[in-house]
Amino acid sequence: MIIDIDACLDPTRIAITAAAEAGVKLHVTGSVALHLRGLLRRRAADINLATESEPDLTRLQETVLGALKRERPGYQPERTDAPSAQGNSCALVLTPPGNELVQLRISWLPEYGPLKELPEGWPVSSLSTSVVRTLQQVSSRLDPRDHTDLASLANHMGPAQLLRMTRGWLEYQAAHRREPLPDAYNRLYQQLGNCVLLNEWAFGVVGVATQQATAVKDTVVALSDELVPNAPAPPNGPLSDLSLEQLHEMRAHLLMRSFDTEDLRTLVSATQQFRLAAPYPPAEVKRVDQELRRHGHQADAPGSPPRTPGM
Amino acid sequence: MTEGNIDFGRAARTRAVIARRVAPHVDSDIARALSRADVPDALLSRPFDAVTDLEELAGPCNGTVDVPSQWHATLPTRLQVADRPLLLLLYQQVLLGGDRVQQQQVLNSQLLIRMWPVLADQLPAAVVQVWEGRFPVLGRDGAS
Repeated sequence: MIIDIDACLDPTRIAITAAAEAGVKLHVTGSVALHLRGLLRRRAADINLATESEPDLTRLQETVLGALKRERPGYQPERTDAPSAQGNSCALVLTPPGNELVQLRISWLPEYGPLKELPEGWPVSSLSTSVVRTLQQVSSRLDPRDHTDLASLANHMGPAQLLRMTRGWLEYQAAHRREPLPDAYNRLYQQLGNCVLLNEWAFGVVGVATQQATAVKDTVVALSDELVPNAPAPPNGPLSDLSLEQLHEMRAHLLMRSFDTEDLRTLVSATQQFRLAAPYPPAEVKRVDQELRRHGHQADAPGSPPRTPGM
Repeated sequence: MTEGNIDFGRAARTRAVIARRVAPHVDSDIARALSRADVPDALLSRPFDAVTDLEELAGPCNGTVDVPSQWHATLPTRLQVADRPLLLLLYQQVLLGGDRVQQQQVLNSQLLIRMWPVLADQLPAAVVQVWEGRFPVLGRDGAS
């Protein structure tokens, strides 16, 4: 289900109004919130509404369903997901003009900043929430929607501001994982860099044209490269013998062409060690070098100085 | 608090209440994992599930695999198992949001073990914690 957001705003407004009359403050979150802010041009998979206070979702679902049936019977609204046992989420489906089945999901979710009311009266998640949730998503899955959203946020607030917020989020994550901060930087660096694996088809499905997809990837990769130089230096560790470029190349072709566990383990190990405490063991540098040569890339000889830009 | 600053305290209060509500309704190891401060909000809203025996995973190891309809927004309705990048996306989605029946139908235990090093680097730590806790063969040192 990929939807045209503009055609779904009418039922979204009806849902928010009906909930408000029942005493529940719903706001728009996710990609539709970014769309309403004018930051995002892509199609969405569903409409997400949220409330920050503990809701009675069974009652809320009935209320919204009743309002849609009364006001837009032609949309054929129906209940789909009943409120889950733990009561944090429920969904309806409907068919607004110009769309196939659209899912409208209502969830109980935290907010990372004050809700915003847009000039047209739309209540939406804070930008802080959009940033955190997008970072959570790119850290959870490889999906063109998340990378497109991240690039849109970078374009809107500027890479420097997004990096500042990203660093804050990483520090929070690392503190609660009780892990070294460089590990958190490296993990996100790797996860962002994986966007190069997403092909045109994947972006095309969500309405992102080839040229825009290239721009999204460039923005996200640039963001990931900025992260590593910004990572705190390890206590006594010299830089890795591998450059960022080499890691990009190796990661991409291993993921695309090989699922040999040993290769993957080497890749994971190499990325995790990047900028961490120790230089590569000679055997591992040799292995990386051979791997790159096997795929037609010229690698630096073991022990040669790092050629990582900006480091 | 202005836009552009992240108010972790505000979110943590809501997250703690949600996690408490979730706990009685999911397996104890999943409840523990969901209480982590680094759990994505989406997992609190819709907790993940996991099979209890790897042998239950009867998805194809070659040929094609049918993609459950909930992921048709971003994946083809059917994909080649040999198309590893797409298979990786499907496995991620099923591990994150699939119920046990979907996991049994889509995931293949041997492929899961082989792809785990990459999957584990992409999935939320809470999901990795539960799967590696249930199936030590998936552990970073166990996969072979």
